[in-house]
Amino acid sequence: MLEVRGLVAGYRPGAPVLAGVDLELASGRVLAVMGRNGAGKSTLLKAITGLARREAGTVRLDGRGIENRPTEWIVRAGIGLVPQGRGVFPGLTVEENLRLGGLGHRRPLPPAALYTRFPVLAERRDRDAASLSGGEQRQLAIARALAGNPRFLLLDEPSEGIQPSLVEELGATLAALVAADGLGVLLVEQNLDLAARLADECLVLEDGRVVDRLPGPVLADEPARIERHLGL
Amino acid sequence: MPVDPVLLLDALAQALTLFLVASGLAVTFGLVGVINLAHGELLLAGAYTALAVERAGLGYWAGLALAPLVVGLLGFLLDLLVIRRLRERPLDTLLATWAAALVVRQTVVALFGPASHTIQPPIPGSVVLLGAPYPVHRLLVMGLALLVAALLAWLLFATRLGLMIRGAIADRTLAAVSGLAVRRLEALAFAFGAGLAGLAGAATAPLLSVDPQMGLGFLLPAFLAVLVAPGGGPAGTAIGAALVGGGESLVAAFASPVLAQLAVLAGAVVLLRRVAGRRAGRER
Repeated sequence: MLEVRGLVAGYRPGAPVLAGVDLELASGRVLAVMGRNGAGKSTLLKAITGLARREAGTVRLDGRGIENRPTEWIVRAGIGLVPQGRGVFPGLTVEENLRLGGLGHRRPLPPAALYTRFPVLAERRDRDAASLSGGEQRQLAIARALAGNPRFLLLDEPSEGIQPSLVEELGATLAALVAADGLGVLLVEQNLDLAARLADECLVLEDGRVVDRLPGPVLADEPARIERHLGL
Repeated sequence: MPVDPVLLLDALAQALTLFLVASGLAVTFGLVGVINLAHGELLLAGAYTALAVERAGLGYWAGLALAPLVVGLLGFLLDLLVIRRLRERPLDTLLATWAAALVVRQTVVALFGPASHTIQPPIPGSVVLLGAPYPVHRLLVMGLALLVAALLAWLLFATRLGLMIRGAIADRTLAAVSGLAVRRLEALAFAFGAGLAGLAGAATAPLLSVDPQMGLGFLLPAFLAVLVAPGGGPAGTAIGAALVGGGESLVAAFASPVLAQLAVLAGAVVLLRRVAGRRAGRER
């Protein structure tokens, strides 16, 4: 279980972006985080993984406080992060990206295991990661985070900048990971269709606070409720 | 005009010597992103380590083996006490590493005096190469540079540590997000780069006059070699060293040493523009 309580965090002292966020994420569940630009969604993921400056609050993994640990410790403890943007190591091959994702972890997944989930990466294994298409780079970024065999995966807008057919494919891959491997996913996403397909629950952030909690099916059944928050 | 083959050999020797100096700098500049103005003094420390060990009666080879260890430790301390405290503050880092350079230089003056010293080459004399006598020690330094190039290539491209270092150079934050202890990696890389500078100092000491200013002459060409290097890695540094070291040596031989210095100065302007460009790129 990943639990966040009263998290206040940002980038400069005295100027928090998050103003006290609470959430719980269990294994095999998907929690979507939605909100307008600047609401604090990416900062939430960065604060959990020690990349943003925490001013108050706790982050617990299976009851153990991890909020004062450095990023690499948190990642090794089982929380993978796919940051916004391409999220791959340019200049390294696809296979090197995957090997690097597993180094330093106790039970890494070998590239071969990841290729079964992301077959296109197997075909590109010796190519420079920077030469892949946007969609392929997103898949590589997710596969790299999975190489450390995390129990929880924090995804920052995985569908950003990739074509709709690939978003569909990505959704299927993520759904399989959650169902088969019991992965817990914290999904920051602007794409309502992808969030609706995957989420068990959805938090809506506004100005660094949780202003609404919606059951997952609501996203698909009553999209107007979430669209109102997103200003759509 | 027929080209004297010894001139070409000299240019090659100059390029390989510069490679030896610049390879340590390439590791620290590439991974830590710091312009270490004390790099020349790390080389100086290597040369004086060789001198001290020789004076202690242990001979040149022991000095050559000890210099990278002593200077690696010095680099580790420099990183621990100065570099990591000034991360993300490039101007302060320039000043602090320049100050560290002064401290090292003045310590050398205090311990060994301001005069120059000579270290006898372990294998004196020359061999006939391309029809002319060529100093054996210069050939040894060239061989050592090639050995370092091979070692670096193996380390970077055939080991787990090398993969980690290349990953951290490509994207520091993503490396941390992948579970790598980037700070520890940087400390190791800084000590390793310093050790290479120490090795370069001890290796070249018998070819030069060992004095407190000897590091200064290497600093600018070494930075130029790293900055004009296409891509990262030892191959890029070797090309950079060939362009800068070999080029300077040939210009000095065919035109004049003054023109060669001017060429280095022109290169320095390019250096400043590129450093400014990289910083602007990072801040965007």
